[in-house]
Amino acid sequence: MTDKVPLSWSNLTCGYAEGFRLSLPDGQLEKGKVFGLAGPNGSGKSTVLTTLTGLFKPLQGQVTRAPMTKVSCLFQVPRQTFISLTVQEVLESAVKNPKLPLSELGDPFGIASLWQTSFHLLSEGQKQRVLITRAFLGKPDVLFLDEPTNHLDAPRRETFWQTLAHFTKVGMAVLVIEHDSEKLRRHVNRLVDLETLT
Amino acid sequence: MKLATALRLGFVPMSLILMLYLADTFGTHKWSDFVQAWPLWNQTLIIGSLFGAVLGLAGFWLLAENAVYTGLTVSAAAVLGLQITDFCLALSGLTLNPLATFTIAASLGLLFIQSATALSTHTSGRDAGNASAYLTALAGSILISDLISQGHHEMESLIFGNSVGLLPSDTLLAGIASFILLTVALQHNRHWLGLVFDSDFLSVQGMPTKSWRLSLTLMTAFSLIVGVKLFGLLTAFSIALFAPLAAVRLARSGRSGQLASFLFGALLFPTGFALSFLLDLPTGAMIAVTGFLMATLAGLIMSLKSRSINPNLFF
Repeated sequence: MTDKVPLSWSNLTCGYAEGFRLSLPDGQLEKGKVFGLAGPNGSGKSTVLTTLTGLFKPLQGQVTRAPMTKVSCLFQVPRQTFISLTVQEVLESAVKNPKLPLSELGDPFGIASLWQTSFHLLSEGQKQRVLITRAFLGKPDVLFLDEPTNHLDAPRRETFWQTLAHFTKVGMAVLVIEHDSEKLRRHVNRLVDLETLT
Repeated sequence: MKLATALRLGFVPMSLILMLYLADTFGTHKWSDFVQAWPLWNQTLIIGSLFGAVLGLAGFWLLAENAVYTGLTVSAAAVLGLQITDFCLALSGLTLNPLATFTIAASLGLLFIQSATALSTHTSGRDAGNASAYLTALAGSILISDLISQGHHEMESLIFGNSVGLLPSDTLLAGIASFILLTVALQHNRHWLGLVFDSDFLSVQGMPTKSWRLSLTLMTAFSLIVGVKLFGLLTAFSIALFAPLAAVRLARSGRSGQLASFLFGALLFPTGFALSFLLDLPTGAMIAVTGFLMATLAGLIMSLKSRSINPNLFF
């Protein structure tokens, strides 16, 4: 593990003991680089993601994180809870006072106007913009993104890729998952198509 | 808090005042009689209001965690724990400090629910585990109460709520428990909101989500257990359910929902208690019905303004 590699994996098999399992070629996330993972539904993208983030234990092999690495993520929209949280409260789960880092970020996804709106009343696209912003807020060293452009309109998709390019330029290591490998190829430094592994 | 939110939340105290007015007009007793007898029940009402607020807040987190049925089961397990402790003390002839008795009872109750749900969750899911534990706890409590002299009376108090019979030790218990539980809740507020919204995100960030969840579970469980000891299952759980249910229907943020749950919990006990006096009806059941009316009216007012509310958030 070097300064340039905040996260790596080797000999990795992820999945379930009695069910789906997938072996991933050894790899690493490098600072300033975007690693792409593509594949159709059921190919194991989310299983790989949850294993690399540490939420699932691998069946075999290991994921190594450099000490003091700040990690953030964007998963699919979280389950509906019975209570209403405002956008501000959602962002506060990432950082204590989100207004300052949001203004430093330049609010690329235009969520300042939604500040006091209940998250569950937002459209799917607005929810995705809030969750993308939350993922970027803490300026992590490593960022995992699960289908980040879902529900975004064309201009917002463009904004997203520009923002990602900006952060990778300043040293963030990123893993992006998408269905469409062709769409992803244009934005990543390395691409693994899970369909070719199974 | 915005004026619109304050007005919406103010609807609940207004409706409670209206209920009291109607009970005063058409009831068996008069409000003036209730006020005259204040020295008789001032301690009960103060404890009821204080710990009702704690129960309202605990109930908010039960709703947020989709764990209402688990909360009901914890309450039933508390009844069992208290009955087992009473039985053991009666059998051995020992007397214990009330707080020590309560601690043993709470531990027994929690141990029971942990064992019962762990046994059934793997094969039949959380609901089935909770239902099994709930039924067994109540059945076990009734059977044990049969073995203790005065057991039936105790059992009735524990289930249906004999809130008039508070002891001096209950005041101490309510005071200590309220202080501890509210301190923990205030300290963890932001973490718990994040946890119920998206615990995976926090886990990936390396946050201690397991210890946060443990503190949340213990806060809600001990609030319910103390509530059952003080007011009985029906009263305690009614406050923990209906106060936050009314609150989350009217509130538009996590913080206003918590504040409203706290305030509605504080109001529900004294209002239900006064109504039971005015109408000459059982206290625990009256508090439960008052809570139900409060939550239903809150739902009604929001459905009248429903252009901005997601119907999936209701029952």
